[in-house]
Amino acid sequence: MINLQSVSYVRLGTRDIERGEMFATKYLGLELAERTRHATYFKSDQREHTLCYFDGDPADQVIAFEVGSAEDLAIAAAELERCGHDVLPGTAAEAESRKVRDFIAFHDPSGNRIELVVGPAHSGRRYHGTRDAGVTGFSHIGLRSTDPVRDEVFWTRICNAQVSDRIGDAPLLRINEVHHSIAMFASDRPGIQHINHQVESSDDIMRSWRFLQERQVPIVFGPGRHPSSSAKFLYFEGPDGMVFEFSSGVRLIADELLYRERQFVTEPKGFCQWGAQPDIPEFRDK
Amino acid sequence: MVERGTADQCAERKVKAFIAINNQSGPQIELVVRPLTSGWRYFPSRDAGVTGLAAVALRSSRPEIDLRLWTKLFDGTISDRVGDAAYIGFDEVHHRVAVHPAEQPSILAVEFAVESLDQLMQNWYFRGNSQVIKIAHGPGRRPTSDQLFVTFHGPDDVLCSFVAEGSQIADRHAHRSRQFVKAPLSFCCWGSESQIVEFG
Repeated sequence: MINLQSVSYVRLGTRDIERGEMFATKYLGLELAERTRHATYFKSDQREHTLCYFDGDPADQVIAFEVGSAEDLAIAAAELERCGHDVLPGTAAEAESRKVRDFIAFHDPSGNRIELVVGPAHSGRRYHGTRDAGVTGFSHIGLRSTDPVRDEVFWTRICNAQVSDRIGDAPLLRINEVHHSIAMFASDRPGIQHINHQVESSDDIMRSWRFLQERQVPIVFGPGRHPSSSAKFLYFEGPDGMVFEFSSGVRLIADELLYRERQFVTEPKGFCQWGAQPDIPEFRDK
Repeated sequence: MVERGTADQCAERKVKAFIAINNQSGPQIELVVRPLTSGWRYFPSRDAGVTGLAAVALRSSRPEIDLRLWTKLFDGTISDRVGDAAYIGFDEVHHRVAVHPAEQPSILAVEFAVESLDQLMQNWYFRGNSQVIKIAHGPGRRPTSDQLFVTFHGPDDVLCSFVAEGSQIADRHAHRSRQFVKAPLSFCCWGSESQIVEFG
């Protein structure tokens, strides 16, 4: 079994890094960590970076997970090959560009590019946001799946994820005590469906709601509260159509023995207990 | 001018006795004795989460005079001020009366407490389905009282607010009131826009 510890970073190809940087800093409130010739890196917490915009095709998207050690990485590589997934070991230059000691890449059954990393760099300096968005760190992703029922098996049998809840067939998967690190939604193509950063409080959610509205950033869902994770949330659209989420107050599942996953309906009330209506295609019943 | 309520007036108000105080610069104030308590608990027609009447906001044509009434004649203390408006409390809740300078005296808003942020936001989304309910301010949070609020237009130009959370003042006599600038951000620290003239 592949033991994932936590989400590590997201890499997004873009034809307009400047716009990506403007959005990430002025709107998301992330801190600019580094600019290189072909990529810009952003901090959201103590880690050296959690988001990277690089020169490339917006369809090129990567989600990385941290594993415990070089040994865990080797076990993961072997397990993936055993299951018929091609493993692409990272070169030294690639590892440096991801600010990790080592990594491997593979594609999940839907074709999402996943990187497993060892030793992602932590910064000596704490995060100081570009604006007071109250960001406490990159927390989870929504992941597109061409077959969530099939992919749930991959993530829970080959990897160590567990289902915290489902909305229709969409599993919300945890790999530590946080309610979910992967929210998997049916889609006609692979890719990252949304990128979540945690913020300190519901006040921060609401302030960002007003702030982003004033700047004509499309708000695609919320403000609201997920009945599944109990987090207050706000979803909004960024460059290249990527959806970003701020949320606060996500449930922690500490007692594994007593916790039972629940089934929510694929209707607005399955996504929000306040009454918000999602303008997100993947959150609607097909 | 002070008038004692008649038997019929007491019955209309469901109180044992009351006096009415007309101070000309604010709405009529009534002091009541033995208001009726119901044997039956409150069961609402929809799940708004209301837990009771919380506070009232008043328009005053002579705010300094009215403040003397509330703090010298009555035992209120000023919790905070925004410009010349003042929030007055009598118990551990930040305020029960807010006095706002205005041309004409009247009741500005009646505020009802709801259980939590969840109920406040559910009420805000609920109005989306109604042609009748128009939002005047919020959802937001007052930096003065830390209360969450959403204010909507009620009948006859009286505003209604749902409020939740809010700071407590344990020792009112030790509390030092703060002076906030008269600006929209002093009425909502989330940045919501207000149609309320007194909050401009």
